[in-house]
Amino acid sequence: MSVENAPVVDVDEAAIPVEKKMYYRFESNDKKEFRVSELAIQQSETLNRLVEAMGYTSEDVENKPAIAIENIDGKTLKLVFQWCEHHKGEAIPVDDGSVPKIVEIPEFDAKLMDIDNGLLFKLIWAADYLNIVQLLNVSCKKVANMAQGKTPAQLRRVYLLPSDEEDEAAKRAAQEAQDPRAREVEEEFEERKRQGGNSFF
Amino acid sequence: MTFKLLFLPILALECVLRRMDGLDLIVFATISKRTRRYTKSINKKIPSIDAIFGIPFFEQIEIQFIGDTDRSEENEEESEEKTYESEENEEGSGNSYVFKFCDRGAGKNETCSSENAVVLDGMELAMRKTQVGQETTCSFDSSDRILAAMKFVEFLCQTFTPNNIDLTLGESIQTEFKAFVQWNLLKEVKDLGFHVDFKVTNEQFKMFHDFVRRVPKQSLSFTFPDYTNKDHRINATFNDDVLCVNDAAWFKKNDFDLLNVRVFHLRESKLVNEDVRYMLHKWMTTASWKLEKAEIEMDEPDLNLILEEFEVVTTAQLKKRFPQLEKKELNFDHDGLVFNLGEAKHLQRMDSTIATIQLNDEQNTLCFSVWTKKIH
Repeated sequence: MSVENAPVVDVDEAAIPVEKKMYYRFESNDKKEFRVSELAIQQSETLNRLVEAMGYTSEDVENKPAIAIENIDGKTLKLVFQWCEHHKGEAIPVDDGSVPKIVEIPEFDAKLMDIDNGLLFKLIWAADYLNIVQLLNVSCKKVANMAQGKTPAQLRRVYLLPSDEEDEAAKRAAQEAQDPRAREVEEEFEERKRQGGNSFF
Repeated sequence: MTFKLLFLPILALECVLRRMDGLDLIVFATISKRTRRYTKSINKKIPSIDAIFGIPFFEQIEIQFIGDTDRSEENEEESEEKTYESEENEEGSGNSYVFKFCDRGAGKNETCSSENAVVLDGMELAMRKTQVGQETTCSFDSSDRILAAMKFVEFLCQTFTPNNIDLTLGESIQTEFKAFVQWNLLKEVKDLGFHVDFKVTNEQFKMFHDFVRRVPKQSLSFTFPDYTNKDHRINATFNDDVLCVNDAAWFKKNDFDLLNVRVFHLRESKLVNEDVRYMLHKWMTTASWKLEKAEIEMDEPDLNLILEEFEVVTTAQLKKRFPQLEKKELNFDHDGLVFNLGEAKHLQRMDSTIATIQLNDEQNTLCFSVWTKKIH
C-alpha cells in the first residue's frame, strides 16, 4: 500500500500543536498501513520506545518504510490506534500497586469495544504486547464484567474453563505430542516398577 | 458468547481477575485447581474472616467478611473495595459477604440445580445467592454442613490469605470441640480469635491450650465463658506476641509466671490489687520479661495500693531527671491505649527502663506501658 493511500485514524487537529505535528507510519501483519500522531504513540510504552530509538525525522517518516508490527492484524491495530488518538495526551497510569483498582469504562471506550469477543481477545493481546496500560485496564474490565452474577456452570461456559480432569488430559496429550519417546520411556519405567524391578537399566 | 480467558497472556489474565467483583472471583476460584492458582497469584486479600458455627436460635453456620483489598493497595479512599476494620466505622463503605451453610433439605423449598453447584475438594455444595444493598448472602446446602463450612473456610484461606480468623462455636457445636481445636488450618493462621459460647471443661481447655502452645500466634484472642480452671489444674503457658483473654476469671496471680507475651489484655478478670502488684514486681525484677503493654480489667483497682511497695516516680520527677522531656508532648498513644503522663505514675527498673501505670477513664482497667524508646 502506498503512503498516499494509507488510512489515517481520526485526529482532532486542533489538539495537536502545529510545530510538533509528526505522524509515524505503521504496518500491520496483513499489510495495512496507519498514520499515527507522535502524541498518540506515547500511550504505548513499546511503540514510544521504538520510535525514540529510531530517532526518525519528519523526512524519514515519509521516506522510510512503515514500521512493521508483525503480530497484530489491521482490524485490531485500527482499534488500538483509534483508542490512542482519542486518549492522546492523557496521563498514563503507573502500575506500581498504589493506583486504585477501580476502572470505569468511558463512553468512547465502551463504543470502541462494542465488538465480538474474538476481536476483544485480540485487542487485549495487542494492548498487552504494545504495553498500553489504560487500554488494557478498560478491556480487561469489560471481560471481568462478563462474570457478573454468573453461576459456576455459566462461568465455565462463558470463559471456556476446563475442569481439573480436562486439564490433566490436555497436559498428558501435550506431553505425548512433544516427546512421544519420553512418554514411552516413562511408561516402561512405570511398568518395571510395577513388576518390582529395582533398576531401570 | 464465549471468551477464551485462559488463553490471554498471564498479565492480562491477572488484570481481568483483579477487576472482577468479590463473589464472582470466589466462584471463579472454585472451578478448578488452575483457576484457584491464578486467583491466588493476584494476591487479592480478604482482611478478616468471621466463622460462626452454631448461631444461637438458628443453629446455622455463617462465614462472613467485609470488603476485600489488594495487598499492595494503599489508596483506600478512592477504592470501593475497602480494607475491613470494623463493622461500625466502615458501615456502608465496603461490600459484605455472608455465607450460610445448611444441611441439604433443611433450607426453604427452593430447588437448586447443578448449575449452581460449587465443588470444593470433591464436595458438592448447592448455592443460592441473594443481594441486598452491599450485602451478598450465599446459602449452601450440603450433606454435612459443618464439614462443608470448614472446607469453605480452608478454601478462602488458601486463596485469599486473610490476616485474621475469628472462630465462634455455639452450644450446638459443643460435641465437635475437639475437631475444631485440632483443625490444621488454625495452626497456620497468624492472628486467631477462638471464642466459644458454652462452658468448657478442664479437659477441653487443656486441649485448646496444648494446641495454642504448640503454635504461638502473632495475636491470639480467646473467650471461654465461666471457665474457672478449678484447682489450677492447667498451667496455662502462653508465648504469643499479643494475647487477649476475654473472660479472664480463671486467670490467677501465678499465671503471670507462665506468660511470655509482649502485649496482653485481660478482660473481666477477678484479679485483685495484690495480684497486679505481683505482676509489676515481676517486671521490676526480670529484665528479660518481654512484656511491653498490659491492660487488666479488675473489679476495684486502687493505684495507691498496687504501687505501695515500689519507689514510684512522678512525671515531675521524671522531667527533673530528664530535662529533654520538658519539651516533649506528654500524652502518648500505645496501640490505642492513651496515656496522659501528667496524671500517670512511673516505675524505673534497674536497667533504667521506664514503665507508666495509670487507670483508664472508667477507673476499672489498669493500663501498663513500657517506654520502648530510650529518652536519654
